[in-house]
Amino acid sequence: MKIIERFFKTITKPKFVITLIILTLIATFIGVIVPQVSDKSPSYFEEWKLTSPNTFYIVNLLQLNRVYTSVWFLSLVFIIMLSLGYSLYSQVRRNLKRKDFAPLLSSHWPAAADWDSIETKTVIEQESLIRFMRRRRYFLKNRSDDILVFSKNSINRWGGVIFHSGLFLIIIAALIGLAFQKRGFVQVMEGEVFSGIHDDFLVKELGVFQKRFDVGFKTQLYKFNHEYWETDQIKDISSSVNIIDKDGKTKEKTINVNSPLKYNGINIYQSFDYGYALTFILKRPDGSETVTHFLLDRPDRRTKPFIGSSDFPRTPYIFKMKFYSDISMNSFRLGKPILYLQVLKGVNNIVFDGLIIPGNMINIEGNLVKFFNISHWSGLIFAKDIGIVIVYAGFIIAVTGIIIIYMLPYKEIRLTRVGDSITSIHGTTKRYHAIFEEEMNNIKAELGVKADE
Amino acid sequence: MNDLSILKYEVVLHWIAVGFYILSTVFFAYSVSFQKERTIKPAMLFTLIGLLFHSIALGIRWLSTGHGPYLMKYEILSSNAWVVMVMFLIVAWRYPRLRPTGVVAVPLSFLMMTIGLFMNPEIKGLPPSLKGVWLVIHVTFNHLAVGALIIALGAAVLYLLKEKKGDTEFFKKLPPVDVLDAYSYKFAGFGFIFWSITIVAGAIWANQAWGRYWGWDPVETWSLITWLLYGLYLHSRLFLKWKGKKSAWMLVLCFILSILSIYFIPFMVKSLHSAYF
Repeated sequence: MKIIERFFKTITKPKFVITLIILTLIATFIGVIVPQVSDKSPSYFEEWKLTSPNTFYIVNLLQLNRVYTSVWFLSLVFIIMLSLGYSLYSQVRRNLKRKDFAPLLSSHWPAAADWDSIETKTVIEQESLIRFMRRRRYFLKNRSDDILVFSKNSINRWGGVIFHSGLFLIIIAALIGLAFQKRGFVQVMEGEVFSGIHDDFLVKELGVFQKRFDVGFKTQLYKFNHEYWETDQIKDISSSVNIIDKDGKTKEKTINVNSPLKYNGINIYQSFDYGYALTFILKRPDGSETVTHFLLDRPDRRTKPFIGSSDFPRTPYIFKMKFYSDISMNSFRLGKPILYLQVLKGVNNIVFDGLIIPGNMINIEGNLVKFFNISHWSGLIFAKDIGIVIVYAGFIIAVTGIIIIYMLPYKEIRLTRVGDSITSIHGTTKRYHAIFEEEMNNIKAELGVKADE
Repeated sequence: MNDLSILKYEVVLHWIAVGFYILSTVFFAYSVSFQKERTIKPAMLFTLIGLLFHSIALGIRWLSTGHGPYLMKYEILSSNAWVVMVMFLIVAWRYPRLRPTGVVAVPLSFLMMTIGLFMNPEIKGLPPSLKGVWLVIHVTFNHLAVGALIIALGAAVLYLLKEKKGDTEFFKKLPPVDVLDAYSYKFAGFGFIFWSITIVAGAIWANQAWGRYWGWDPVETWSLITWLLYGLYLHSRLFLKWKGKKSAWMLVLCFILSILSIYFIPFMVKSLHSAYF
């Protein structure tokens, strides 16, 4: 038991806490300078492994290329959480025990703040002093016949508790997210239904304890809208969808950027990834057909084409496409579309190179390929994070705590009166001592004037 | 009036404001370098006149774009400089003894504005992800954080100067060194509050727009590094009883890093913020 207590006391010692902050700083700094698995493609790391095998080995071994999910970083976060937790417990216990927060005993007060007495011509009544201090937002905390103790911003002693509680909640929420989050990205074409099944997501991010992300309903995109400013920036994008639940009931909804759709505990976000989907039908000499859709990415300027390059499934062909939604080559909107298509067989063998429009049929080595259709596709993000409520609560509590700590410093002032004169003014505060001393000097000066009246 | 002529007037007004801020800087620098108190008043006056032109320029921009000045470097740098100037004038009015902090606040502001003016001043429409109250909170508190930290830096610089040349008449009129140190601490505390609100508002906004409140984006990470550094500074003052020279230098370091994280990281690395900044 003593060992546990000693452990907790060690991890809450100021120097240990500062060390934890420095370690977190170093960890985040490593995350910035070392390329992370989450930011780069697997080929980047393969290349690194080939060019500098030793460096890569060390980086990989120490998990420096996946800092935020590494064992050592999570251990650090866990120790911070323990430190915060025990610090909270100690602070709460200390604050609750402290019934007399403003003692009359002079030993409580710093000797340096003992000033010359203010000689008074007239007796300043205690009640008058209390009113005088109240005007300065100091409230009476304790009194005897000759001593008055005032305090300001009493809530400050809870500032640390509130701030650390907020941080504690944020860390808890982050760990919950890491363990249980579900997130998936999918590209849906107009008219297409996304099944909501785990395997149909294009990209998935699952918490450590999650195995699958099945949404539990289907989503059909029936219209995608995109609007632009004159300067080509996106003005608005939205997806109009049908949500089809297990019973087959359909609900029409719209998903906008910054305004996710909440359904059945799942949030659906509008992604900034979208573009045109081109549908082709390839008919082989034996009569068999393959239908495929190529999803092209949006350019940043309307004068540039939508671009895509992909294998045609079950054929040896690679389709390289530059698609203009209008022949004017100056529009994002679908007008009179035109496609510049290159079909490659292997790396350099071009088997088709030319312009086509929807409805055109081309012959590629005896296969008939029809440019069948154009529609929009929209990127949708499905997410479920049960920690989000906790993290928001943590944010609010932490910010409240910091405001209390740094904007409302606790102050105590002790006035001692002997006979007609105020013999001393003592004060104590935790922060901004020199400013507080100036404030006490002002109080002293004002009391001197008051005494002369 | 079309956009182009509005833009012309607005840029001219911005340059006039820069001119007054430069004048103000010269007077502040003369005052602190040669310890002449009489040049503080004209320096304050030039700051005020500069702010007037600056406000009109930003007002015109706001009216013509239809959104606040928080899109692209040009608007962000200008609005940030404006917030710093307003904060400085409020502090100078409330605590007249801190007026010489203008020697740091004014040149940093006009530097921000000038860099902004060399960027593309093209008027751009607001993308859908930037529509929402959390962005306004995020940007506003970021500007306030920069303002508070610049004033804290100003107090720290005055502390270091007074400590070195404290025996001259000019520096004797400044607050005592421990008071300058306390003000530096106080404004760093305010900056820490505002920075925290910036991160929180940004996280809430990111969650609304992209469905995640934290993604270790480079700018997010640098922002966290800066927050941790200021946290370290504040903890060192409370627990290690650091004060004076040591704290002043640490604040200078924290400030350099915070500027790096706000203004340089989005230029250097690919970040979500690069698209809007």
